[in-house]
Amino acid sequence: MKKNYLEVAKFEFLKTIKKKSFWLATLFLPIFIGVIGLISGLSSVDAAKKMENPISFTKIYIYDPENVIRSAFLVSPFEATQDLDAAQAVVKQDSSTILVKLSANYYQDLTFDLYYRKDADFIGTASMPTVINALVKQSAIADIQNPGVINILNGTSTTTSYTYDDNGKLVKEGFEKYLLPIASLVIFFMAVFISSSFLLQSVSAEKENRMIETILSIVDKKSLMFGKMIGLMGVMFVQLSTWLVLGLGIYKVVMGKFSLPIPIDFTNIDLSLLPLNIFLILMGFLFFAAIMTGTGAVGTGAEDSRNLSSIFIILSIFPIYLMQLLITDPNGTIATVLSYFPFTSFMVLLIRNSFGALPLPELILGIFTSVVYVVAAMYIAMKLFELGCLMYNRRPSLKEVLGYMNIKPFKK
Amino acid sequence: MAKYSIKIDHFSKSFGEVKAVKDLSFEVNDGEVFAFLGTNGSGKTTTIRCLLKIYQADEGNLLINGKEYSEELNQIIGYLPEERGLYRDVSVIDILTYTARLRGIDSDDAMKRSLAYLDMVGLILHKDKQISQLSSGMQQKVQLGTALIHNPEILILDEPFKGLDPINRQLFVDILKEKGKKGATILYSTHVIDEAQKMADRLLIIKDGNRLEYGSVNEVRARHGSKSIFIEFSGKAPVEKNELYSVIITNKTAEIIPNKDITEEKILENLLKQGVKLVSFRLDYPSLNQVFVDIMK
Repeated sequence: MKKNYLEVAKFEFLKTIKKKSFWLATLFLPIFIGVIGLISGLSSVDAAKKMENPISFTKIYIYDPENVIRSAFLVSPFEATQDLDAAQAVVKQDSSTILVKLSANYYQDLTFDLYYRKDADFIGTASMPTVINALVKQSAIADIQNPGVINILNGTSTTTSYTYDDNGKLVKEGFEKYLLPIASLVIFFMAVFISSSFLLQSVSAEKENRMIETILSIVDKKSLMFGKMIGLMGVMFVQLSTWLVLGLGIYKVVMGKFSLPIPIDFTNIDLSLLPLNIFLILMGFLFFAAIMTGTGAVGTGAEDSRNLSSIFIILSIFPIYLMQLLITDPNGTIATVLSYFPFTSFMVLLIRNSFGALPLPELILGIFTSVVYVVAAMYIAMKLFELGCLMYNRRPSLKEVLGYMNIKPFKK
Repeated sequence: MAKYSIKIDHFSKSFGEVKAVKDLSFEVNDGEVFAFLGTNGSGKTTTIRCLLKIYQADEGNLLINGKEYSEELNQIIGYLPEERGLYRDVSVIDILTYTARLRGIDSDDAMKRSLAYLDMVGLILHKDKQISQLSSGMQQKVQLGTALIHNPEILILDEPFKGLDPINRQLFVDILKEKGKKGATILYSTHVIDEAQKMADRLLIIKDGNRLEYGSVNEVRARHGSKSIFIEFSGKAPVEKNELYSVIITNKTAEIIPNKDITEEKILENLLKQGVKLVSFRLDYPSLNQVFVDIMK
């Protein structure tokens, strides 16, 4: 009997994952992202191929009064022309031709104009400036004798950054610096805004269909509430695992098919930040799960509860609008203040910790406040649940809520 | 303390400024069928919810088998709430086994009991259907199943006949009678006073949270005025009211309530004068329905 909350948890877990709508919602997002990624990947490959061979034109007329481009480079489809009017007349009629008119004062102003029909190949016209610039550059380099200078002019320098960590260890900087914050934020969002919404649905539906009183006559309110939370946390893990497996699958497929331009060195990810991130995600889930339970219980139905919960969701996603500021100045006043405001604290602490920007005293304070906020949210949710779960067809007033929580002067 | 009993002692409950129940006391004895009567808003549901700790009582003791309600008592209590419903997207068998499991019954036994119940009420072929796929009558049977699945010794039913079609109502009555015969203690609230007179051993009538009547059905009836005259007739019905009596007519039967100091002989004489053909004529206390109406006036 003492393990009734586990029975509730099991029921809630199975009830949710047996639903087709759950799997549709779970599979839709990664599949959608995968399909979009595949389409954009294929498009990129196609575009890259076109960029590699951008000369889709049958004739490219070069009008070059200063002879900037070496004539040796002007092989088909390039053709030098002195008769601008004749070349323009051809281009007007034929979309597979293009006219490049270099300025009469090119060495000073470095400008050239392109003329083509409006239905000419988009990629070809878009890549033409690059092609002409390359021709101009190669023509200029051809006059230089020093191979070192030629090498410099032909290439661009590559950069590698190294940073010293707190222990003086040298760490190579790369894209992986952003991997942990991005992954943590994605998981946080999914856990908080998708998985905790199952709790809202569960409580409001149970109230709406009047099953709640039957259940409350068997289990106490705490067992019911915590059972639901545990069960739906299980749902969250199933959902996250599904996304992880699908995400890795999609990553493998994409990496196999297309080469990712950003090399990731997984060994450079600072795993020491992970435990606090996991803790903050878990606390964030419990906090918002409690909020959703409370709003589910006081709403008159699923629709009403959703409307109520949107207030808290807006408050909690507020840091997204300040993301740039949080990344560039993770220890600034705004980041610090938002780290201790209940609805934003979990996300802001998560971002700051992911960048390793959380000083030890703040880290300890952050853990403490997170626990306090979760306990407070649980208490309030419990009270709202007690007050609202059997209040059919109407919401409790704020006065009733405050009075129920024994807050003076609303105390009965 | 009797084995399966309920005792409410000086119980009060308020919601804000509204006093829902005021200093209410009554007892339901072991094996007794006890009717809890009152109009809407009289405090019946509040009392039942406080008894089951769904609400917290402000004052008084609400005891089942001498103890305050706890989850341990779930195995012997079956509860049918007034505001009832079921998960719409869960199968019939899953709901029954879930409620059984919550009451501490192991999975195999929960499944056996659920199937046996569904067989008894003719729903075995619908066991895998979702609740939303069932008719309201079928849903009512499943709902009753959630209260009976663990074969409880104490049944607490809040308006059990509310919203029932005639067939299900008879089914519920038969099941309750059967449970009563087997010695279960039954506390039920109802508006169906006729049914209470037939089924209940004792009763309580409350109004605005106050106790108005309490005792056996016949004691309560006896406390309310002189005896009524119950007749069966054929043909012409008696006039509804005259200087001797007032009457409640139901088809070919009638309950005649004599005015003060009017004897049954005078009533009989008057009826015969009216040309009423009497099939039977007997004296009895006023019906519970009449008592209820009188009290609530």
